[in-house]
Amino acid sequence: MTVAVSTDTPMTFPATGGECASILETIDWACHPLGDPVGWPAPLRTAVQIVLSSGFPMMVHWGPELFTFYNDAYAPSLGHKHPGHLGQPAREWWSEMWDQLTPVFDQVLAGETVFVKNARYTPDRDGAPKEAFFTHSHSPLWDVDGRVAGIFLVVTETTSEVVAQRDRDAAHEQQQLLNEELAHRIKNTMSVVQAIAHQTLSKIEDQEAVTSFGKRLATLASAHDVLTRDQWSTAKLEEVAQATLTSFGEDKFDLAGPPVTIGPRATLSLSLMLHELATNATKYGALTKPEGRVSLNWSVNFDGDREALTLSWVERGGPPAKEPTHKGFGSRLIRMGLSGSGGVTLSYGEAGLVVQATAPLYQVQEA
Amino acid sequence: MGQTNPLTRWPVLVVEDEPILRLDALSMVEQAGFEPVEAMSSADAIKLLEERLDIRMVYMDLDMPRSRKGIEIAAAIRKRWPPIEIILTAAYFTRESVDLPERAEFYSKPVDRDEIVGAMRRLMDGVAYSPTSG
Repeated sequence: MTVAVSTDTPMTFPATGGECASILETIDWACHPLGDPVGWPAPLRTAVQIVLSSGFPMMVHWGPELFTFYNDAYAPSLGHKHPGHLGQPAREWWSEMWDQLTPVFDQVLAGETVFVKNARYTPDRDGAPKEAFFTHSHSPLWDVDGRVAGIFLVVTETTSEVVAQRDRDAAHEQQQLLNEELAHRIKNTMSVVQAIAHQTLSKIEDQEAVTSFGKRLATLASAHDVLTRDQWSTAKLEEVAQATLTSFGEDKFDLAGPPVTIGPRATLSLSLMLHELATNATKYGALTKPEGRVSLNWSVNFDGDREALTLSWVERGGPPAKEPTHKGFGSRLIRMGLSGSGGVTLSYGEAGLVVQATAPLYQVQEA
Repeated sequence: MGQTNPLTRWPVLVVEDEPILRLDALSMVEQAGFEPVEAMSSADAIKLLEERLDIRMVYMDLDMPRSRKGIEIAAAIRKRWPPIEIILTAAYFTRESVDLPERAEFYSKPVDRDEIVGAMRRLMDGVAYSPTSG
């Protein structure tokens, strides 16, 4: 942008003022209440010059009538009102939203600055009131005598940002609803699978196996529940442990560890692992005794240069732990560990079973 | 009637619109030692409760989409027939997300059958010896 300064004629409106400045030049100021711009109070002249030459949308209101000046950057947000109202009183200008604006004007005329982010207005655009959002700052303009005589406005229309954010929020909400609906259907389907399994297998002798199947399926469903809370992306380890262990008696377990989020796969394998451990503890371990307890502790430590999650399951108050002679699916679920690929040690001690499971944190957090 | 005879097979109303789940629930009621009565909707359930005054327990699915909100029906049953025990199940809701009627128990789907059978026996144990008559 080049600045052309004319020295031979007195400058009224800056040559860099663009279309708005040109329009102001055409006004017959002799017949205007403000009179010839050459005779305007210096603060008004300066303010109008700043506005006209700025690339930011700006506006000035001056005097009791709030005569209005704005620049080319401001013009597009006025719709069909531009340019007819340049130099006219603000009240005519914004009759349709005068009620919204007067409190702001009154505050500024009392000497305050009003800054509002994404304020909603309904300006008349192309003949109809339309919702629009603006971030604006209204600040006082002082006359030479120190009294507030006008208002200086810097504004930027944020309608597209606000609408885009609103669309994103709506889409997010819709996605959340779909997620919940899907989770509901999955769980319902799991219930039907369980019912079919139970009815189909009702005559077989090993009913314990049918029961185990039902309980594992229920564990899977509770892991789904925890995952649904965060759109199937992550789950909090503590919540996963609680959801799995709660049906075994909440007061039997002492859970302790830092907040750790884990991925969907680790959520499923951890749930099934804890379920098997708790089932075993109920059948053979600490939870066969009323005073028996289980401590579940976890921590994140550096293993070489990467972080590793370590989880320990410690049974106390029960009978001495004995290594099972038969290793079935339950044992394999336990040995799959935190990420499904092992890293589990089981110690069958006099005081009870101790299980230690370790996995690189990145693996546990993978999707 | 029954309170002098602990072997009475009290009727338990199963309210479930999903046929396979209803079938399975009926078999849970039988396994618990009671007489299953089935309803396919909450409207059916209310009608049956009005007719069969000997029903002492309701096992109901809260997810039934074609009827009034299940939890409201459960609350209505508690209000109208206070002695009836209520066991609720749902896939859509969690225990924390519903405002359970007094004494009602909630089990998330898929349910643990042993837990349900146990709950039925436990809740009906009080009924069998209670002085209220059907």
